[in-house]
Amino acid sequence: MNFKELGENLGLEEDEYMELVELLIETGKADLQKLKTAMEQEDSDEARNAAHSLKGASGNLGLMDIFETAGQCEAAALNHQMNDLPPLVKKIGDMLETLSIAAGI
Amino acid sequence: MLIVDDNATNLNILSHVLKLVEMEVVSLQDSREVLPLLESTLKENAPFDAAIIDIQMPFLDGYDVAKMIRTTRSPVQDLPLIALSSVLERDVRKDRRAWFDCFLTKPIRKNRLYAELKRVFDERKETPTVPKRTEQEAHKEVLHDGDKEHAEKILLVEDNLVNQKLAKMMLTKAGFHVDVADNGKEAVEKIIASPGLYHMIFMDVQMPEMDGIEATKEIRKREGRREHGKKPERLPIVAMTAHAMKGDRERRIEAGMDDYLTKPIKKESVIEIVYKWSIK
Repeated sequence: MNFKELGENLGLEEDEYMELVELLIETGKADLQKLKTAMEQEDSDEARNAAHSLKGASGNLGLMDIFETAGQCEAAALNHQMNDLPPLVKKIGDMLETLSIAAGI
Repeated sequence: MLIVDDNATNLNILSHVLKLVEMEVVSLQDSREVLPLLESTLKENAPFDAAIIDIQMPFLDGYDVAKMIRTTRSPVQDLPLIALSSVLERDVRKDRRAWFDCFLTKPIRKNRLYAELKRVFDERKETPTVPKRTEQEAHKEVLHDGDKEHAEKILLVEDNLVNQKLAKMMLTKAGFHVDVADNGKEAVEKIIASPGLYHMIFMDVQMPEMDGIEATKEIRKREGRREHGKKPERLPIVAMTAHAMKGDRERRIEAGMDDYLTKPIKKESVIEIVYKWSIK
Protein backbone atom coordinates (compact mmCIF):
# COMPACT_ATOMS: atom_id res chain seq x y z
CA MET A 1 0.00 0.00 0.00
CA ASN A 2 1.52 3.29 -1.05
CA PHE A 3 0.43 5.63 1.74
CA LYS A 4 2.58 8.46 0.43
CA GLU A 5 0.79 8.43 -2.90
CA LEU A 6 -2.66 8.05 -1.32
CA GLY A 7 -1.87 11.09 0.83
CA GLU A 8 -0.62 13.07 -2.13
CA ASN A 9 -3.88 12.41 -3.97
CA LEU A 10 -5.60 14.30 -1.16
CA GLY A 11 -2.96 17.04 -1.02
CA LEU A 12 -1.64 15.76 2.31
CA GLU A 13 1.76 14.82 3.68
CA GLU A 14 2.31 11.16 4.44
CA ASP A 15 2.26 11.68 8.23
CA GLU A 16 -1.04 13.57 8.00
CA TYR A 17 -2.50 10.78 5.91
CA MET A 18 -1.29 8.20 8.43
CA GLU A 19 -3.14 10.04 11.18
CA LEU A 20 -6.32 9.61 9.17
CA VAL A 21 -5.60 5.93 8.52
CA GLU A 22 -5.12 5.40 12.23
CA LEU A 23 -8.47 7.04 12.93
CA LEU A 24 -10.09 4.97 10.19
CA ILE A 25 -8.81 1.73 11.72
CA GLU A 26 -10.12 2.79 15.11
CA THR A 27 -13.58 3.88 13.90
CA GLY A 28 -13.63 1.02 11.36
CA LYS A 29 -13.28 -1.55 14.15
CA ALA A 30 -16.17 0.08 15.99
CA ASP A 31 -18.27 0.01 12.80
CA LEU A 32 -17.35 -3.63 12.31
CA GLN A 33 -18.52 -4.45 15.82
CA LYS A 34 -21.80 -2.62 15.15
CA LEU A 35 -22.21 -4.64 11.95
CA LYS A 36 -21.71 -7.92 13.83
CA THR A 37 -24.22 -6.93 16.52
CA ALA A 38 -26.68 -5.80 13.86
CA MET A 39 -26.33 -9.17 12.11
CA GLU A 40 -27.09 -11.05 15.34
CA GLN A 41 -30.10 -8.87 16.03
CA GLU A 42 -31.18 -8.84 12.37
CA ASP A 43 -31.28 -5.05 12.58
CA SER A 44 -30.90 -3.96 8.96
CA ASP A 45 -31.11 -0.20 9.76
CA GLU A 46 -28.22 -0.39 12.17
CA ALA A 47 -26.22 -2.53 9.71
CA ARG A 48 -26.85 0.02 6.98
CA ASN A 49 -25.69 2.91 9.17
CA ALA A 50 -22.48 1.17 10.20
CA ALA A 51 -21.69 0.15 6.61
CA HIS A 52 -22.45 3.66 5.38
CA SER A 53 -20.09 5.19 7.91
CA LEU A 54 -17.26 2.85 6.93
CA LYS A 55 -17.94 3.35 3.23
CA GLY A 56 -17.79 7.14 3.53
CA ALA A 57 -14.57 7.20 5.53
CA SER A 58 -12.68 4.68 3.39
CA GLY A 59 -13.90 6.31 0.16
CA ASN A 60 -12.62 9.71 1.22
CA LEU A 61 -9.23 8.20 2.05
CA GLY A 62 -9.08 6.46 -1.34
CA LEU A 63 -9.09 2.96 0.21
CA MET A 64 -11.22 1.53 -2.55
CA ASP A 65 -11.31 -2.16 -1.56
CA ILE A 66 -12.86 -1.35 1.83
CA PHE A 67 -15.09 1.27 0.20
CA GLU A 68 -16.50 -1.22 -2.29
CA THR A 69 -17.10 -4.02 0.22
CA ALA A 70 -18.72 -1.63 2.70
CA GLY A 71 -20.90 -0.40 -0.18
CA GLN A 72 -22.01 -3.99 -0.87
CA CYS A 73 -22.87 -4.35 2.84
CA GLU A 74 -24.89 -1.15 2.76
CA ALA A 75 -26.81 -2.29 -0.32
CA ALA A 76 -27.52 -5.73 1.19
CA ALA A 77 -28.80 -4.15 4.42
CA LEU A 78 -30.93 -1.70 2.47
CA ASN A 79 -32.59 -4.63 0.68
CA HIS A 80 -32.93 -6.56 3.97
CA GLN A 81 -30.72 -9.35 2.57
CA MET A 82 -29.09 -9.98 5.92
CA ASN A 83 -27.85 -13.43 4.82
CA ASP A 84 -25.45 -11.76 2.41
CA LEU A 85 -23.68 -9.90 5.20
CA PRO A 86 -21.48 -12.47 7.02
CA PRO A 87 -18.93 -13.08 4.20
CA LEU A 88 -18.75 -9.34 3.44
CA VAL A 89 -18.27 -8.43 7.09
CA LYS A 90 -15.53 -11.02 7.41
CA LYS A 91 -13.85 -9.58 4.32
CA ILE A 92 -13.93 -6.08 5.83
CA GLY A 93 -12.43 -7.40 9.05
CA ASP A 94 -9.55 -8.96 7.08
CA MET A 95 -9.01 -5.76 5.11
CA LEU A 96 -8.84 -3.65 8.24
CA GLU A 97 -6.36 -6.12 9.67
CA THR A 98 -4.19 -5.92 6.53
CA LEU A 99 -4.38 -2.13 6.60
CA SER A 100 -3.43 -2.10 10.24
CA ILE A 101 -0.35 -4.22 9.60
CA ALA A 102 0.68 -2.17 6.55
CA ALA A 103 0.33 1.01 8.58
CA GLY A 104 2.32 -0.48 11.43
CA ILE A 105 -0.46 0.19 13.94
CA MET B 1 -0.58 43.84 -11.16
CA LEU B 2 1.61 40.81 -10.60
CA ILE B 3 0.12 37.95 -8.61
CA VAL B 4 2.17 35.04 -7.30
CA ASP B 5 0.70 31.90 -5.78
CA ASP B 6 1.64 28.25 -6.23
CA ASN B 7 -2.05 27.28 -6.10
CA ALA B 8 -3.62 27.59 -9.55
CA THR B 9 -7.15 27.87 -8.20
CA ASN B 10 -6.25 30.79 -5.95
CA LEU B 11 -4.48 32.48 -8.86
CA ASN B 12 -7.52 32.14 -11.09
CA ILE B 13 -9.88 33.54 -8.52
CA LEU B 14 -7.60 36.42 -7.57
CA SER B 15 -7.01 37.23 -11.21
CA HIS B 16 -10.76 37.21 -11.85
CA VAL B 17 -11.42 39.55 -8.91
CA LEU B 18 -8.76 42.02 -10.07
CA LYS B 19 -9.95 41.96 -13.66
CA LEU B 20 -13.42 42.92 -12.44
CA VAL B 21 -11.97 46.34 -11.63
CA GLU B 22 -10.14 46.40 -14.95
CA MET B 23 -6.66 45.71 -13.73
CA GLU B 24 -4.16 44.08 -16.00
CA VAL B 25 -3.00 40.92 -14.33
CA VAL B 26 0.05 38.71 -14.77
CA SER B 27 -0.03 35.43 -12.85
CA LEU B 28 3.00 33.43 -11.76
CA GLN B 29 2.86 30.02 -10.14
CA ASP B 30 6.60 29.63 -9.61
CA SER B 31 8.01 32.15 -7.15
CA ARG B 32 11.49 31.71 -8.61
CA GLU B 33 10.38 33.53 -11.75
CA VAL B 34 9.36 36.71 -9.93
CA LEU B 35 12.63 38.58 -9.83
CA PRO B 36 13.69 37.81 -13.42
CA LEU B 37 10.25 38.97 -14.59
CA LEU B 38 10.44 42.20 -12.60
CA GLU B 39 13.89 42.97 -13.95
CA SER B 40 12.76 42.35 -17.52
CA THR B 41 9.74 44.65 -17.18
CA LEU B 42 12.14 47.30 -15.96
CA LYS B 43 14.12 47.00 -19.18
CA GLU B 44 10.96 47.24 -21.24
CA ASN B 45 9.94 50.25 -19.19
CA ALA B 46 6.58 48.72 -18.33
CA PRO B 47 6.83 48.11 -14.60
CA PHE B 48 4.11 46.62 -12.41
CA ASP B 49 2.10 48.86 -10.09
CA ALA B 50 2.21 46.30 -7.32
CA ALA B 51 2.59 42.60 -6.59
CA ILE B 52 0.37 40.34 -4.51
CA ILE B 53 2.43 37.47 -3.15
CA ASP B 54 1.28 34.35 -1.34
CA ILE B 55 3.35 33.58 1.74
CA GLN B 56 3.20 29.81 1.74
CA MET B 57 4.94 28.59 -1.41
CA PRO B 58 7.52 25.92 -2.23
CA PHE B 59 11.14 26.80 -3.18
CA LEU B 60 10.95 30.50 -2.31
CA ASP B 61 8.22 31.51 0.09
CA GLY B 62 6.61 34.95 0.13
CA TYR B 63 9.14 36.34 2.60
CA ASP B 64 12.07 35.14 0.50
CA VAL B 65 10.61 36.79 -2.59
CA ALA B 66 9.89 40.04 -0.74
CA LYS B 67 13.37 40.13 0.72
CA MET B 68 14.92 39.58 -2.71
CA ILE B 69 12.84 42.40 -4.17
CA ARG B 70 13.61 44.80 -1.32
CA THR B 71 17.34 44.14 -1.45
CA THR B 72 17.86 44.56 -5.19
CA ARG B 73 19.73 47.68 -6.14
CA SER B 74 17.25 48.56 -8.85
CA PRO B 75 13.98 50.53 -8.83
CA VAL B 76 12.23 47.19 -8.41
CA GLN B 77 12.97 47.43 -4.69
CA ASP B 78 10.23 50.02 -4.20
CA LEU B 79 7.45 47.95 -5.72
CA PRO B 80 4.38 47.91 -3.46
CA LEU B 81 4.05 44.39 -2.08
CA ILE B 82 0.91 42.83 -0.66
CA ALA B 83 1.18 39.55 1.23
CA LEU B 84 -1.47 36.85 1.22
CA SER B 85 -1.17 35.01 4.45
CA SER B 86 -3.04 32.35 6.30
CA VAL B 87 -4.09 32.24 9.90
CA LEU B 88 -1.29 29.84 10.64
CA GLU B 89 1.42 32.38 9.94
CA ARG B 90 0.52 34.94 12.53
CA ASP B 91 3.51 34.45 14.76
CA VAL B 92 6.25 35.20 12.25
CA ARG B 93 9.03 37.61 13.05
CA LYS B 94 7.82 41.15 12.76
CA ASP B 95 10.88 42.35 10.85
CA ARG B 96 9.97 39.91 8.07
CA ARG B 97 6.45 41.28 7.89
CA ALA B 98 7.90 44.76 7.36
CA TRP B 99 9.03 43.77 3.85
CA PHE B 100 5.39 44.10 2.83
CA ASP B 101 3.13 47.14 2.48
CA CYS B 102 0.18 45.19 3.76
CA PHE B 103 -1.01 41.77 4.81
CA LEU B 104 -4.22 40.22 3.64
CA THR B 105 -5.51 37.09 5.30
CA LYS B 106 -7.32 34.32 3.51
CA PRO B 107 -10.05 33.97 2.52
CA ILE B 108 -9.74 37.11 0.46
CA ARG B 109 -12.85 39.25 0.45
CA LYS B 110 -13.34 41.18 -2.75
CA ASN B 111 -14.18 44.50 -1.14
CA ARG B 112 -11.43 44.28 1.41
CA LEU B 113 -8.90 43.56 -1.32
CA TYR B 114 -9.98 46.65 -3.29
CA ALA B 115 -9.94 48.79 -0.15
CA GLU B 116 -6.46 47.64 0.88
CA LEU B 117 -5.08 48.15 -2.63
CA LYS B 118 -6.45 51.68 -2.66
CA ARG B 119 -4.94 52.33 0.75
CA VAL B 120 -1.54 51.05 -0.38
CA PHE B 121 -1.61 53.19 -3.53
CA ASP B 122 -2.73 56.26 -1.57
CA GLU B 123 0.04 55.77 0.98
CA ARG B 124 2.58 55.36 -1.78
CA LYS B 125 1.51 58.64 -3.35
CA GLU B 126 2.56 60.36 -0.16
CA THR B 127 5.75 58.37 0.40
CA PRO B 128 6.72 56.63 -2.82
CA THR B 129 9.57 54.56 -1.41
CA VAL B 130 9.46 51.45 0.73
CA PRO B 131 7.59 52.16 3.93
CA LYS B 132 10.00 52.16 6.83
CA ARG B 133 7.72 50.81 9.46
CA THR B 134 8.62 50.77 13.07
CA GLU B 135 8.34 47.47 14.78
CA GLN B 136 5.50 48.82 16.84
CA GLU B 137 3.48 49.68 13.76
CA ALA B 138 4.06 46.27 12.25
CA HIS B 139 3.01 44.72 15.53
CA LYS B 140 -0.17 46.74 15.63
CA GLU B 141 -1.08 45.42 12.21
CA VAL B 142 -0.51 41.85 13.29
CA LEU B 143 -2.96 42.27 16.13
CA HIS B 144 -5.44 43.95 13.85
CA ASP B 145 -5.24 41.09 11.39
CA GLY B 146 -5.59 38.63 14.22
CA ASP B 147 -8.91 40.15 15.24
CA LYS B 148 -10.26 39.72 11.75
CA GLU B 149 -9.18 36.12 11.61
CA HIS B 150 -10.96 35.36 14.81
CA ALA B 151 -14.07 36.99 13.47
CA GLU B 152 -14.29 34.60 10.55
CA LYS B 153 -14.51 30.88 10.83
CA ILE B 154 -15.84 28.01 8.84
CA LEU B 155 -18.22 25.68 10.60
CA LEU B 156 -17.76 22.07 9.55
CA VAL B 157 -20.69 19.81 10.36
CA GLU B 158 -19.89 16.12 9.90
CA ASP B 159 -20.62 13.06 12.04
CA ASN B 160 -18.06 10.75 10.44
CA LEU B 161 -14.86 11.30 12.42
CA VAL B 162 -12.50 10.39 9.58
CA ASN B 163 -14.22 12.71 7.11
CA GLN B 164 -14.40 15.41 9.74
CA LYS B 165 -10.68 15.22 10.39
CA LEU B 166 -9.86 15.09 6.67
CA ALA B 167 -11.97 18.14 5.79
CA LYS B 168 -10.59 20.05 8.75
CA MET B 169 -7.04 19.18 7.71
CA MET B 170 -7.63 20.39 4.16
CA LEU B 171 -9.15 23.68 5.30
CA THR B 172 -6.59 24.33 8.03
CA LYS B 173 -3.71 23.64 5.65
CA ALA B 174 -5.17 26.20 3.26
CA GLY B 175 -5.15 28.75 6.06
CA PHE B 176 -8.74 28.75 7.23
CA HIS B 177 -9.95 28.57 10.78
CA VAL B 178 -12.39 25.74 11.41
CA ASP B 179 -14.87 24.81 14.12
CA VAL B 180 -16.44 21.37 14.13
CA ALA B 181 -19.93 20.15 14.99
CA ASP B 182 -20.77 16.43 15.12
CA ASN B 183 -24.35 16.75 13.94
CA GLY B 184 -26.99 19.22 12.82
CA LYS B 185 -28.28 19.87 16.30
CA GLU B 186 -24.85 20.88 17.54
CA ALA B 187 -24.41 23.10 14.48
CA VAL B 188 -27.65 24.97 15.14
CA GLU B 189 -26.62 25.43 18.78
CA LYS B 190 -23.26 26.86 17.73
CA ILE B 191 -24.90 29.28 15.31
CA ILE B 192 -27.28 30.48 18.02
CA ALA B 193 -24.50 30.80 20.59
CA SER B 194 -22.21 32.88 18.33
CA PRO B 195 -24.17 34.85 15.75
CA GLY B 196 -21.91 36.32 13.09
CA LEU B 197 -18.89 34.20 14.04
CA TYR B 198 -19.07 31.91 11.01
CA HIS B 199 -18.83 33.04 7.43
CA MET B 200 -19.80 29.75 5.89
CA ILE B 201 -20.89 26.22 6.74
CA PHE B 202 -19.92 22.88 5.27
CA MET B 203 -22.76 20.55 6.11
CA ASP B 204 -22.91 16.79 5.75
CA VAL B 205 -26.37 15.77 4.61
CA GLN B 206 -26.82 12.37 6.24
CA MET B 207 -26.26 12.62 10.00
CA PRO B 208 -27.81 11.22 13.19
CA GLU B 209 -29.68 13.46 15.69
CA MET B 210 -30.46 16.13 13.12
CA ASP B 211 -29.53 15.75 9.46
CA GLY B 212 -28.12 18.49 7.24
CA ILE B 213 -31.45 19.28 5.62
CA GLU B 214 -33.23 19.80 8.94
CA ALA B 215 -30.34 21.84 10.36
CA THR B 216 -30.30 24.09 7.31
CA LYS B 217 -34.04 24.70 7.56
CA GLU B 218 -33.60 25.57 11.23
CA ILE B 219 -30.75 28.00 10.52
CA ARG B 220 -32.65 29.70 7.69
CA LYS B 221 -35.74 30.04 9.87
CA ARG B 222 -33.70 31.90 12.48
CA GLU B 223 -32.04 34.12 9.89
CA GLY B 224 -35.48 35.16 8.70
CA ARG B 225 -36.51 35.97 12.23
CA ARG B 226 -33.54 38.16 13.08
CA GLU B 227 -33.97 40.78 10.37
CA HIS B 228 -36.42 43.63 10.65
CA GLY B 229 -37.16 44.92 7.19
CA LYS B 230 -33.45 44.66 6.41
CA LYS B 231 -32.02 42.29 3.85
CA PRO B 232 -31.05 39.20 5.86
CA GLU B 233 -27.40 38.19 6.18
CA ARG B 234 -27.50 34.83 4.49
CA LEU B 235 -24.85 32.43 5.69
CA PRO B 236 -23.59 30.30 2.77
CA ILE B 237 -24.31 26.63 3.46
CA VAL B 238 -22.54 24.05 1.33
CA ALA B 239 -23.81 20.47 1.42
CA MET B 240 -21.35 17.58 1.47
CA THR B 241 -22.98 14.58 -0.05
CA ALA B 242 -22.19 11.22 -1.58
CA HIS B 243 -25.60 11.04 -3.23
CA ALA B 244 -26.27 12.02 -6.76
CA MET B 245 -29.80 10.70 -6.64
CA LYS B 246 -32.68 12.38 -8.37
CA GLY B 247 -34.55 14.70 -6.07
CA ASP B 248 -31.56 15.32 -3.78
CA ARG B 249 -30.71 18.61 -5.41
CA GLU B 250 -34.30 19.82 -5.06
CA ARG B 251 -34.38 18.79 -1.42
CA ARG B 252 -31.18 20.73 -0.71
CA ILE B 253 -32.33 23.86 -2.49
CA GLU B 254 -35.73 23.72 -0.83
CA ALA B 255 -34.05 23.49 2.58
CA GLY B 256 -31.97 26.58 1.78
CA MET B 257 -28.56 25.13 0.92
CA ASP B 258 -26.54 27.22 -1.51
CA ASP B 259 -24.07 24.82 -3.06
CA TYR B 260 -22.73 21.31 -2.73
CA LEU B 261 -19.57 19.23 -2.71
CA THR B 262 -19.62 15.60 -3.75
CA LYS B 263 -17.82 12.99 -1.70
CA PRO B 264 -15.13 11.83 -1.75
CA ILE B 265 -14.06 15.40 -1.15
CA LYS B 266 -11.09 16.83 -3.05
CA LYS B 267 -8.84 19.52 -1.63
CA GLU B 268 -9.07 21.66 -4.77
CA SER B 269 -12.85 21.65 -4.84
CA VAL B 270 -13.08 22.41 -1.12
CA ILE B 271 -10.78 25.43 -1.42
CA GLU B 272 -12.44 26.58 -4.62
CA ILE B 273 -15.84 26.58 -3.00
CA VAL B 274 -14.60 28.53 0.05
CA TYR B 275 -13.23 31.24 -2.22
CA LYS B 276 -16.31 31.19 -4.40
CA TRP B 277 -18.55 32.00 -1.44
CA SER B 278 -16.06 34.28 0.28
CA ILE B 279 -15.76 36.77 -2.55
CA LYS B 280 -19.48 37.09 -3.11
